[in-house]
Amino acid sequence: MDTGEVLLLISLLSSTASFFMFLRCIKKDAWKTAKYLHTISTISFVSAFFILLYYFLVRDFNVEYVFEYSDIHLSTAYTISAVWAGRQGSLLLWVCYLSIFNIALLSGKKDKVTALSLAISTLVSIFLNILLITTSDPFIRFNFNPGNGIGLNPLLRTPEMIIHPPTIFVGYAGMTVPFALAISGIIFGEEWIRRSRLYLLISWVFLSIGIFLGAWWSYKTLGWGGFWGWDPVENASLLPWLTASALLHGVIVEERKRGLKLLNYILAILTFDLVILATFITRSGIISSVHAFGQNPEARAYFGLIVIATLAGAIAAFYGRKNFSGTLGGIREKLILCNISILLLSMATVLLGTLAPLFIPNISVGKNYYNHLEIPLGTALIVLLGICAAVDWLGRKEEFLKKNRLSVPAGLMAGVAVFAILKAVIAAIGVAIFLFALLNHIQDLKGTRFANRRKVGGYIAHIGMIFLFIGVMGAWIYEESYKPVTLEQGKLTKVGNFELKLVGFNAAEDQEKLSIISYVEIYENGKLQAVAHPKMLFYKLMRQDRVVSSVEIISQPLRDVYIAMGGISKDGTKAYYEFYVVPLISFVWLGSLLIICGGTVAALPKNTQRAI
Amino acid sequence: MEKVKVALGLVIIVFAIVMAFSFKSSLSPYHSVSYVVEKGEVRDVQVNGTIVPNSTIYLENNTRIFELTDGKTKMKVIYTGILSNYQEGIPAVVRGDYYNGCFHATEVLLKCPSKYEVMEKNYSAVK
Repeated sequence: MDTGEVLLLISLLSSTASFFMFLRCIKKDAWKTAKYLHTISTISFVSAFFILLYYFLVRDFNVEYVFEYSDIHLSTAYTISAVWAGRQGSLLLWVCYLSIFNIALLSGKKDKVTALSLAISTLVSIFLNILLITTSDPFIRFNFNPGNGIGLNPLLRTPEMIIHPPTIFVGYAGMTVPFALAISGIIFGEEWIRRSRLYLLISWVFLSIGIFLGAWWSYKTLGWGGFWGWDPVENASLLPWLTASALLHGVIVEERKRGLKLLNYILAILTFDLVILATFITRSGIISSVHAFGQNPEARAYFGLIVIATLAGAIAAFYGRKNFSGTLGGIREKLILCNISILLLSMATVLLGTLAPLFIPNISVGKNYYNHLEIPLGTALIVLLGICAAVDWLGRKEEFLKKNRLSVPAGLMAGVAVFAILKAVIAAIGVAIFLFALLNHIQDLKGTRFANRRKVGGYIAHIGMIFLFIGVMGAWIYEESYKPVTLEQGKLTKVGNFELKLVGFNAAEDQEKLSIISYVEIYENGKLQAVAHPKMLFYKLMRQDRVVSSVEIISQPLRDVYIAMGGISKDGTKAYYEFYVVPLISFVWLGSLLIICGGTVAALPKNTQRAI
Repeated sequence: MEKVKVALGLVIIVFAIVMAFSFKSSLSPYHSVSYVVEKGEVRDVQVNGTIVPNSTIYLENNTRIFELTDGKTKMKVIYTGILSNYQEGIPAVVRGDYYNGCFHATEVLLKCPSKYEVMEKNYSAVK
């Protein structure tokens, strides 16, 4: 038995013991023992993780998992990231995070709500622990030493992919805490919203960062359909993000004692269910192969966990049903409810599209399905955000009219101007909505002090959404793509409004790979815009997917010029490319960053407010 | 409040209907290689299968020909364009037309690198 396996066994035993101790803490003071046991299990998990990392660093290819995801030439940074490149290692990371979140919960108020919550989240960790010693054991060894490994998939060798999985998993693990607090809170008739808010917000921020990094990677990787392709793996992480965003807004209403209690409770349970679904989808690729579903023993386990979590939620809700009373107050609350509904409809749309291949064999759901539904939903959301920002909690009519007196005409004028210049209807409507929503937010923000960081944070995130909206519209509706493009050395070739000239090639070599670099001059209206260097990378690996087209992106404020190289002719006089012009993509990144910033500002502790 | 609830309910029902129609119209079936080859000629279909190892021929002009199989039948696929991360022996989906004994693909989709099963299966054959 490997040391790692021994540690996982110790953690299983101590987690199980701590689960019972936490249950005991509901009635008696057994916190000391519980804490002690939980610390042992956390240390075991974290040590197991570091032992796996150690095996990667010393290149112990006798370990199957190390063999699968690394090789002798892999640089140190990518060797570290290979630890979470596969199902087993990432699951181990997930459970480490959950243990650490539980420590945070342990350091808070010690009452029966915390005790039951810890028992619940320890159960989740026991579940994952069982998977780690059965179907997802990262420490399985061969009975021989292969000497070298298969190597990390070349597409995953980018800085984004080093940090994307560990950030997303913080988000997933963290969402367990609001779930556990919600159930305990309802059972004991105590409030759970305020207690979960910080966990929810932190997890949401990490989930947002993770999704953003994934989108950025996908954009830079050829053949991935741009920054968002409605791939099952992308959808999987978006689902809990949508319900968590809805919950973050429901929390505001409930904190003002104005209802939505049942809805918030359902959202907390649902977010956890979707997190488990997402963990499963990303780690198993189950959606792409229907056959694997029946065969994969983990499928049943994960499905079982989702069913149990939902049932537990339902039973607890029935038990504590008297705690859901409350009425929805003013107009702003109603508008927030509308926004939550949009987020939930959006979630339902994505869920149906993602899971459809499981229920209807041998079909694929086209991207059009998502685009036809999500674009109108997104547009409605931005309009509502704009209206919401003009309505205050008291619902004063004159304030509302005052703000709209500026934003509505400004939006309309901008729309007309765009139509006059570009003759594009959708762009005109988009810009009008963009400006309307943006102006209402800025006007309302003007009188707000930074000390009110929840509002400031929320509004920064909203402005991020508004930028994301206009960026997505530009990139999806007005993208130009040209493929295949053949360029001859020294000759100008017309591509759309551009002219491209292949100047020559160069080669470079490092430990990992051989690169062939082409030099392409990009002209627009006869003027040299940039010299791009799209490359082909040949990784020194014994695997067929070792050839990768590395794209070159020339970023300008209002558009990106994107070029990828796919091959060279035999005589070396011609090369083959794909060429794209993506408008407003920078707004997508700006918007995403603002969303992340907004979440972070809202999560800042209260006592820093005086310093700013 | 009741009015808001009724209005929201109505909007959700309308959306659900639109969603159902949009969903139905965007479904496109995967055909098997056997089905396509048996038909002899089909247009605008998507076919899933596995790329046959050692079957790829690279031609000038960024074009490649490879074989796709469903375990029973094989068919030749011709595709012009960049395929980053291409490898044989993995599942792929091709979209295009089949005629004259060859599939003319306009799109080739290779499976996601974060779906780890593929890699594992690949080498478990050698193990």
